[in-house]
Amino acid sequence: MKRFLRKIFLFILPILLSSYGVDILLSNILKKSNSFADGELPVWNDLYKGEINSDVVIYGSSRAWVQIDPKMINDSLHATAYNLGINGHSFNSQYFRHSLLLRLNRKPKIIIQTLDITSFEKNSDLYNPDQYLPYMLDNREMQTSTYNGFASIDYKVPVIRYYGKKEAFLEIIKLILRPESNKVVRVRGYQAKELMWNDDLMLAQRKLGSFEVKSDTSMIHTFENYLKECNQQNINIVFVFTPVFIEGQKFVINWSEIMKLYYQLSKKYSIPYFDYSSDSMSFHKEYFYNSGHLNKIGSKHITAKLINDLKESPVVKKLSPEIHPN
Amino acid sequence: MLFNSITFAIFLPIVFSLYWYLNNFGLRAQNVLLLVASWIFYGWWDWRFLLLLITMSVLNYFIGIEIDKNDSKKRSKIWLIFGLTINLGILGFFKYFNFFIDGFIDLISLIGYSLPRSTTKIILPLGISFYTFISLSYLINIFKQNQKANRKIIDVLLSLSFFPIILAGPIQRPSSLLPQIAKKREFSCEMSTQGLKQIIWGLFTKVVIADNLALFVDEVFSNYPNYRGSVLLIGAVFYAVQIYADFSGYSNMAIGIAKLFGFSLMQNFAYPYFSRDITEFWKKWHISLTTWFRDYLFLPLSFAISWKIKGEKVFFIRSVLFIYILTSIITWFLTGLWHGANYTFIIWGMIHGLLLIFYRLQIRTRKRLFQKFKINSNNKLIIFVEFLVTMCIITIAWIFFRSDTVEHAINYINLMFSDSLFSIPKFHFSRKIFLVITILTVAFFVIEWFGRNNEYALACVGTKQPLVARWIVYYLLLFIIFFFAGSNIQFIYFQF
Repeated sequence: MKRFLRKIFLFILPILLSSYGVDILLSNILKKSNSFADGELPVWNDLYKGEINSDVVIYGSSRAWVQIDPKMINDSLHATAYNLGINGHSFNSQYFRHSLLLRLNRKPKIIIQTLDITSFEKNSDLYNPDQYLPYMLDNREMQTSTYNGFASIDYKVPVIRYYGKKEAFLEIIKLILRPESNKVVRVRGYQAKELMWNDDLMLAQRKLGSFEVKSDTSMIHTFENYLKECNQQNINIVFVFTPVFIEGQKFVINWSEIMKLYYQLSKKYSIPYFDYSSDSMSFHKEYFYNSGHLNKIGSKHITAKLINDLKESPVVKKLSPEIHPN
Repeated sequence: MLFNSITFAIFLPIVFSLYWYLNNFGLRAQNVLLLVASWIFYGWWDWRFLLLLITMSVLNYFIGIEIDKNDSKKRSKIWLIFGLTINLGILGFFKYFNFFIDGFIDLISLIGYSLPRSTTKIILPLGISFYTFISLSYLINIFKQNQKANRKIIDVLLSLSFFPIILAGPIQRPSSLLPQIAKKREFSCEMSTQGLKQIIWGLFTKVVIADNLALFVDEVFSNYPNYRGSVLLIGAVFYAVQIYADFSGYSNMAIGIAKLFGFSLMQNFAYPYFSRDITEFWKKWHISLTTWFRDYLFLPLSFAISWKIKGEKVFFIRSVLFIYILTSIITWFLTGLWHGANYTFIIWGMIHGLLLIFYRLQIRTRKRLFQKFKINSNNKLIIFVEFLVTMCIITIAWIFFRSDTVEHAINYINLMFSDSLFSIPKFHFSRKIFLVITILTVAFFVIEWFGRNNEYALACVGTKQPLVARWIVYYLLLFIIFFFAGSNIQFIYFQF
């Protein structure tokens, strides 16, 4: 028995001893990836390294990520801008990024808060959980802000969270063997999608039929607190609702109810609200690649519209001269 | 509790340590611990069904004693019939209730009546088909006087609910397990090392091969109308590999775990996909089930029919052949039905039954033809062609096994053999992952080929190789298991 246990111990020992080092090695290599997990890693890197440093930041989901071009804002408003849109996530995750931004980076002057019909909907699963992998070890803040995707052991025991993560492992191998293939896909968090209209999402919605979006009250509460916090810290917020293809809007039963909530919040906290949901763009498929997302042409169009509206907005006008366009 | 879960990874070392610690306290203490552990293992899923398992085991213990009382053969027979009725009745209720009710309603509807369908869905207790068959073999063996009824209740209960085999076999008969339970077991470093190796190999087979293939297979079988014939062919071949990897992986883990506790279980798979004909395949696939059906159904039924038949021919067929055909059809019908309450399983069983009958019918003609044309039956090309034909037939039969309905299976096969069979496969699945899965699957079969003369493939890595080389192989396997494990998917055979 002793011989057997000794053998087992000797076999396991190198695994235990190297686990922490292996974890750091794997995570550090993976962090370099520009395309893994929808290209979210460079954004997390910039957040953790304190390299956002922007006057204008854009919050939201994929509809922020692929639709609002920070470079255009930068060029027009002469203010540094960064897009922190997080694909497939509602406000809770956006708020986690906001907390990191305030803690580790320079405070922004303006937040462009893009809104979706599902901004306050709590997903049953953690979407795109792989984006958290390289940052999770001993990260309590991340642990509390994520749910359903990982067990608490994943945050505490080295390497264990990489179990079954073959895509992550293959990405690491690719980064080691072919670093030149690691092309930049997101520029300051933004990625234009050069795609033409695709019926897939519409077909899926048609198949699904009409549905009701259930907003989470605790998330709305967090959102209101966030608005108050920003107000206290002199951070200006503007709400933006980018176009949704008109046919797609019909599937949501409580569309007007949710829109009403956004207007109420905007009024209650005196926040400018640029609602493009009924904009003429919403009637033209050529601006979209699916019913909820604008393609590159649509994205440039909506960013230009937003910039024009922002220029007229008191939020921009009252800002310091270096950020003011005139 | 699943073998491939964190819970089991905690459970196993605890039970293992306690078990060998109790070695000094006597055999009874070890057996009690194993029994309690087996019940915890089973009850972890649903304690209500643990009560069923305990009740059934206790009942079979007493029925076994009653059968064994030598006062009258007639009395023993009545007790045996009682035992068979109870066991098969419970199995039938949980497994086939809805199937037969729906079948009855369909039948009634054919003559113009309509009855409302039952909305009650009965949950199938895990492993019920396995532990029922273990219990049946115990009772039948006592009746046939192949073994005595064991008076030690702990031993009998343990043999009927031993945790490595309770959920999906191997269907280890108590006649071979009880003597091991009754005998003092000494710790063997060699046996435990072998056990661990077999667990690692089983884990690799299950979580890397089966679970990754499952992602592709599930997608293709769920959305088969959207795919080309070439993709459907890949889906069918992958399913054939998946089910083998899933079940043989489980069996290897079960046998390996039993070895850690000093038990030797029967080999359940002996590289069945390296068979050149259907009979060889069935000698190597799910051995514990096929031998069970052979010993408790096929052979007794053959003898029973042969006693009834007087003449040399029945319906112009030699009576020996007639008996073989009739018993094969019955046995394979029931083998199909054992797998599940669905016509797809029955068709799958019947395909195999008919293939076995056809194989037997062509043996003589084939032999004559080979002699006439002076063909060596051991010619490598002949072997390869036979292997290929066998694999094709088995793969097509698996489509019935995997499909939800007979219509689904027929449509799948029709689409598979359409013009698009020879088109370039296109699927909504990561090509990178597909390539990795394919490479791993090929590597798996290469290792299986080189290890085919051993109880399990990894056993070919033995003491002949230097320690460093062996450990590199084990580390590499663990590394692949760790990074390339598929999503946590249940074992396919749990549903049976």
